Amino acid sequence: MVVEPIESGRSVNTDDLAEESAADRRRTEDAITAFQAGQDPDRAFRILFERYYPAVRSFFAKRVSLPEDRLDLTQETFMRVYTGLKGFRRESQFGTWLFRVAQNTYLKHLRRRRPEDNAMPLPVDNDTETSAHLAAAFSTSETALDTAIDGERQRLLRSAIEDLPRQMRQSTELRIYQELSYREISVVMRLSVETVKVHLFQARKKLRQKIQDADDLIL
Amino acid sequence: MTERVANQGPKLAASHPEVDDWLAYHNGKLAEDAEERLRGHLVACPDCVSLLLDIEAFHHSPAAQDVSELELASAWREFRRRNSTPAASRRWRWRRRLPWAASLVVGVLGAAGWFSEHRTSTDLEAQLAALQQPQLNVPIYDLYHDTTVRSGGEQQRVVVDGDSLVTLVLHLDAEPQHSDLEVEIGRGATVVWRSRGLQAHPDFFTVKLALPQGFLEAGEHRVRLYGVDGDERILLEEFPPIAVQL
Repeated sequence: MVVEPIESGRSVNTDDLAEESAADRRRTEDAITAFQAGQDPDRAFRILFERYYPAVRSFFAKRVSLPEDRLDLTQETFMRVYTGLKGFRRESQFGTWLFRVAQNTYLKHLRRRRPEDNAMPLPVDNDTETSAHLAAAFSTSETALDTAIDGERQRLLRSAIEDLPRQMRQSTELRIYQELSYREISVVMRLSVETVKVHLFQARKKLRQKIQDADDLIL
Repeated sequence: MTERVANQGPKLAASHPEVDDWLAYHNGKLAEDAEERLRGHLVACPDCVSLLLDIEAFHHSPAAQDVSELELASAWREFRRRNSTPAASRRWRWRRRLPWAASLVVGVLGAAGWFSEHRTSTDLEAQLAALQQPQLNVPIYDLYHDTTVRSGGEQQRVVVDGDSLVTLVLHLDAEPQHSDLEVEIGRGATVVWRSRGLQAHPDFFTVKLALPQGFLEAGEHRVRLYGVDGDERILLEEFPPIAVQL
C-alpha cells in the first residue's frame, strides 16, 4: 500500500485498485487481440461488451432522458466499436477510445434531436459514502445572535480552508462543496485513496483547531 | 446547513475545458502546470467532475456499476440481434450533406494540389483562376464500404458531366485511429489519384475529398482509404468500386 506524502507532485492511483485494473486491462487486451485476429470474434467481443456495458449505459443514463434512446445509443456505441475495432491501433487505451466513440455517438444524437428533447441536466453523482461535513458541526441558528455567530463561523471555515496547503485544500473543497467520496476525490485529484484520506484527516484536525480557537475568541 | 455552505462555495467555472483535455488529464498526459490548472477547475465545476468520473468508469471500477446479469444478457442478445441484420443495424449511419462552402474550399485546395503536379504552369494559372470562381452544382457522392446501407447493393455511380469538381464523401464505421489519412483512387493497375494529409471528421467519421471531373475516365475505379503512420501506409478500408459515367 502506497501512502504518498502530503503535497507531493504528480501522483497516481495505487494499491489494490491498480492490481485489479491491471488484470482487467489484460483481459481487455486479450479480447481485443483475439477479435482482431478473428479468433472467435463474437466471444471476444462479448468480453468487452460485458466489461464496458455498465459504463456506456451509465454514460447515456446521465445524458439522455428517454429510456429507449438510452438503449439505442448504448447499442449504437457498441456497434460502432464492433465495426471499428479491427482498426483500433492501441495508440490510446481502449477505455479512452470507447469513451470517444460514446461521446461522438451522443453528439450525433444531439444533432439529430430537437433541442427540447435534450433538456436533461447532468446530475452530480450521489455516493453512498457519508460525507463528513465539517459544516454540519454548525446547527441551524434560531436567534439573531446565533445567526451572527453562525455566519462568522462559516466565514472562518472558508478562510481556514483557503489557508490549507494546496492539495489538502482542493481535496477538502471537493469533499465539502461537491460531496465527493474518497474514491471520487482520488480520481479527480489523481491521488491514491489513502493520500486523500490523509489529506482529509489532517484538514479536519487543522480546521477544528482553527474554529475552536475562533470560538474561544468569539464566546 | 450543508446547502448553505454549498451555496457559498467556490463559484462555478464559466468555461469548460474540452473532453480531450479531460482524457489527457485522466491519462496523466498533461504537463504539470496544465494538470494543476485543470485540477483547479474541477474544484469549482461539478459538471466537469461528473465528466471525469464518467471517463474513469470507462477505464476502471467495473464492480462499481450495478448491472444485473439478466440485464447484461438481455443487452447482449439485443446487440447480437441488431448486429446480425446489416441494414437495420446501420440505421444510425444517416446521411448528411456537406455544406457547400466547405466542399468548395476543399475542392479548390485539392484541385490546386493536383494541378501543381500534372499541368504546365501556363495551364495552372488559367485553371486555378477558373476554379477559384464559385463552383456551382458540385456533385457530392457518398461512399459506404457496405453498399447495402445506401443503395440496396447497387454500385455507386459517379456521373461526370463537366470540367468542374466532384466531391466524394467516404463514410467510415468508426473514428479511425490514424490522424493522417490517404485516399487512393485506382483504375486497373494504375493509381490515378492520391490525396494525402486527410483527416476524418471527428463527429461524422467521414473523409471528404474533391477532384476535378475531367480527371476521371469512364469505367470502374477502386477507392481505398489508408492510415499513414510515418512512412508506413495501412489499408483501413476498401470501398466498393465506383462506376464513372461520362
